[in-house]
Amino acid sequence: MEYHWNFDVVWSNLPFLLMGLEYTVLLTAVSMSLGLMLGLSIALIRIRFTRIRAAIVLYVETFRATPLLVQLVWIYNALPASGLRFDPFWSAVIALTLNLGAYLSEIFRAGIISVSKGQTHAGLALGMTPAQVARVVVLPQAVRRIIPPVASMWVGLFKDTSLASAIAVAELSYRANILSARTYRPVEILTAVAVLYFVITYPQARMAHWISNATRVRE
Amino acid sequence: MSRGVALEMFSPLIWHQLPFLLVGFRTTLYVSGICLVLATVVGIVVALGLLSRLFVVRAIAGLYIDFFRSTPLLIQLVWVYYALPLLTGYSMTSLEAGILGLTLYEGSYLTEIFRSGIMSVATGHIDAGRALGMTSWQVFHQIVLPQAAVRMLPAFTGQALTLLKDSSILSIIAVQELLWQAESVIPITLHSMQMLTVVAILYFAVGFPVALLSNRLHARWAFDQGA
Repeated sequence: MEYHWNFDVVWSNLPFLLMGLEYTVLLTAVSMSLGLMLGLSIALIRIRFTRIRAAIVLYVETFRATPLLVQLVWIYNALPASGLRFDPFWSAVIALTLNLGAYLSEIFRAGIISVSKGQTHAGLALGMTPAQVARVVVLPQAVRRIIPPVASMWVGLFKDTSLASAIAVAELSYRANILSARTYRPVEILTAVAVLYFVITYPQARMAHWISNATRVRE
Repeated sequence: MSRGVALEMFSPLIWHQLPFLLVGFRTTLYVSGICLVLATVVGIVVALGLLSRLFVVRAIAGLYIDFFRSTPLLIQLVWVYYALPLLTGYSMTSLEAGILGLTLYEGSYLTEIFRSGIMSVATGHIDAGRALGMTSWQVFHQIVLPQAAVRMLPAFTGQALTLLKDSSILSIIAVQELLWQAESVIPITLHSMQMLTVVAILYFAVGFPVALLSNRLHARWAFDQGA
């Protein structure tokens, strides 16, 4: 079968799609910023306050063992039943942040624990305060182990924001679906959007790979 | 959660809908199982392609993983379901499109897992096999594969969990899996909280044991390496 490609429909709707891309980037940036804060807090609480460990493990495991799409739909469609209602964009931010926080807390925790106890003891023996030890000794070493997985989480998050289209956030995927239904040109629109995602995601993935090689800890 | 909602969780209406959800759950498990098998085959074939001596084969395999890993699964699924039939003239059911899309996507991740597993086998072992007069197939089959398989297992189990969770995205192209079944009944029963919570619990019931297994395998492999 011969298909007649016609990319005019893509060029004439490019501004509409690019506006969706802005939302995609915004969603990624806001969720990542909040997710980093949440992940670090959770990791520190889990290390410091062992008594509420069970509650934290429950949070982390629940968000890692269930699909992100279910979490999104739950926050947007189910939570309003309890009186908490958010618009699509903030529902997506909340779901992505909670999901990301669960993964990032494990990454932070593993990074912090990986710094050997001897280093902490040495710092304390030199008369440093625990806060100084954390800031000067533990953190710089932990960061090198934390950055590579965080970079690959960023790439994953960028792609995961496409799920926000399921709750009508007007990001790139949502606009792609709307447009391909409206113009009856799914081949051109969806191909163009796939290429758009690729052009933006691929360099980020290469960068994440490069960062992971550059910061590798040799033991 | 307000008290009313908490009590409603036990309302009989929810339990009437449970068989409906379980039908979807069965599709989720069935699709995940099929895709895991197919994606494993794709992953092994492409991983061998990446290690091929022929540049063209390596380039094609590389393009495949770069492209599928750098675009969202959602877009791939929608493309396979809505765009591909217009190009090929062969229309697929949503289930077929879903299985094809999910297999290709997860296959690109499994390829990397298999490739690094195969690469992790020390070259000395391969040279030793060759020196003993083994054929390349014998070396691969008897020396590389058994060692690579053990090392790949933790990451493979983790990817299996990801695949199970990603299968929920098939609801977007109307595959009647767990999430789709729940969403289709919510406008009728209006019990969104109960329905979606049951959906989450069902995913968790399968996903959590797989996550535990993956963690245990990771810990055990780290221990073996340290020993």
